[in-house]
Amino acid sequence: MKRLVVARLLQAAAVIAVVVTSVFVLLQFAPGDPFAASLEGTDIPPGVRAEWRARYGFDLPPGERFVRWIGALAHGQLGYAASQRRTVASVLADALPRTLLLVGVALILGFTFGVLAGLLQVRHHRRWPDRLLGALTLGGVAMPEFLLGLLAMTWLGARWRLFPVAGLASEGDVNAWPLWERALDHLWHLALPAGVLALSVAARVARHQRAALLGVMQEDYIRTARAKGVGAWDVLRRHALPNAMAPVIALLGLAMPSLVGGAVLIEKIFGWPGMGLTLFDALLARDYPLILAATLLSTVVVVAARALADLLAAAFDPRGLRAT
Amino acid sequence: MASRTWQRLRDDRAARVAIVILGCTVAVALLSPWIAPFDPTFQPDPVGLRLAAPSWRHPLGTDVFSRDVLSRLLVGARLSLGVAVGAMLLSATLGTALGALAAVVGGWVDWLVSALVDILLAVPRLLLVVALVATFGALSPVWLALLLGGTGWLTTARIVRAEMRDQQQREYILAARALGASRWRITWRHLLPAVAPQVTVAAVLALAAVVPLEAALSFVGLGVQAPLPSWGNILLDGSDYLTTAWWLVVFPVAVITGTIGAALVLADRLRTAIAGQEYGR
Repeated sequence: MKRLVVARLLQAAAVIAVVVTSVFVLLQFAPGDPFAASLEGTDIPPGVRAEWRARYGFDLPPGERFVRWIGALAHGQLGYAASQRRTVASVLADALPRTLLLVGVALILGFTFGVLAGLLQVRHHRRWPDRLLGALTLGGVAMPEFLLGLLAMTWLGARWRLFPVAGLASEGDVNAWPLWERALDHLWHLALPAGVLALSVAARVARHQRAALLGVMQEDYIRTARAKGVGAWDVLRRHALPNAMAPVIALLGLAMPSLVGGAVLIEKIFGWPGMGLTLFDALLARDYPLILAATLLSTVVVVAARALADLLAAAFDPRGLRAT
Repeated sequence: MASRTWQRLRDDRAARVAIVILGCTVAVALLSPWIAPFDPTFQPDPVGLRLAAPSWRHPLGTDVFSRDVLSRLLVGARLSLGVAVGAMLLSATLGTALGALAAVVGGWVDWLVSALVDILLAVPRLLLVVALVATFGALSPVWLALLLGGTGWLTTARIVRAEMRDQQQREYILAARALGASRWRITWRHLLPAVAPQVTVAAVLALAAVVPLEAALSFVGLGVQAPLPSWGNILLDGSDYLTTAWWLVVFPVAVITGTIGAALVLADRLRTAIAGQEYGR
């Protein structure tokens, strides 16, 4: 187990290093820079433009800029986000918790409901609950998150006005409200984006949970447990489920990047200003320091989550350890 | 072997439904210029027919420029599916070639391909594609297909590599080597046909992954550009009128979801049919 942890961490570090370096290299080939939008095409004299670029080091050769960026990173300096007129660190300090909240709530809800649906389907295998949930989860897997988001927004948000369609909190003198009311308001705004992501996760988890459980239910020890008089639910929950968990957790680890990708669109549709929306806007504004830092942070989160899922899966099912 | 798999698929009701849905979608995409009732960019009456609800004349309604939504969906299928199928073919080819190279050559080539796959798998594909397009500017549909295909070969390469390494251990490969067949002859005549079923499944799954990507890109304005219709940018046009014009959202969503669902079901049933072929005889 220890060796697996070390190997996984080393691999994660290598992946992060390669991704960030590639982003830096790619940006060198991209047209424009953070000042293109505000300086080009205006009547600001060329000398002033050059001075602004020199002040932020954009006149240096790419190699030196990269070394400087790494050096600053080592000192905890992420630079200045010109498009938002504040430091990169403060932009990310605002954005990261919002995304972690959104994805975290979606993962927990989605995983719980997915596992429950899978259990229910196997308990009533080939009867109507299985077929109904099977059809629903197929729809959930087939419908991209952002389409589900649009539908939810159209009906639950815009037409029936049950939930707010955008933003983090209500307009007006929200800050004067008592703390619990502000928290409720925040959750109410979280409901649609997190609910949509959660449904999408739940559908995927349920399909894999059902398949894994059906596989385990064929095993001899399940028949032994049944023969000894353990009830159908108890066999499923206490004997089959633990052994059917590992593939589902491993799947979640593998699905992490696409979950984050889906979250980007959800953030964009629902105006949830997290990491995805920040990165999206930074790309359009060519805000290099912000792009690099946001990419670095998202990659760290994705890679860490994947490594964690791998280790969790190994903890649930140590049989796979010998193979790796 | 292929005909047995086909037989199993035809005996499978879910697979039949999926094949019919996909077949109809492809046929509609190919025939769209002739069966679409209107020109997809034709604006008959931008004032009187603005956001008109579904009617006999416009069965799926009209958009904000009074353009016929049915015609836009039909012609949009051409671009959306064309991009998706192009990307699928490219990713299947690239994935098979790189996976085979890794398995057959081994050594540092294997290490390099595997490392590249591991790294790219850690990056959200949607984010990667959005980043590339946002940085370098909007692409023509052909380049879009190349970009989506060029980022979609990872799982295929993984599957091909694993399956080929498994096949290499079997006696018939040893026999071929003993008969003096070269490495590349073995790859071409024995290993590639052996992985063909898995590649087919992976390709159908790749199609199911590319359709939403294209839709998402066009939806955020980075994919197929107006006035060309695609499933994604019909939604983009509709997203401003959620409360007034449900037909601009519901029909594209239904078409996209139906296509992806059919591809997912087909991949699943195909996998079962192939597995039955191997173990059941």
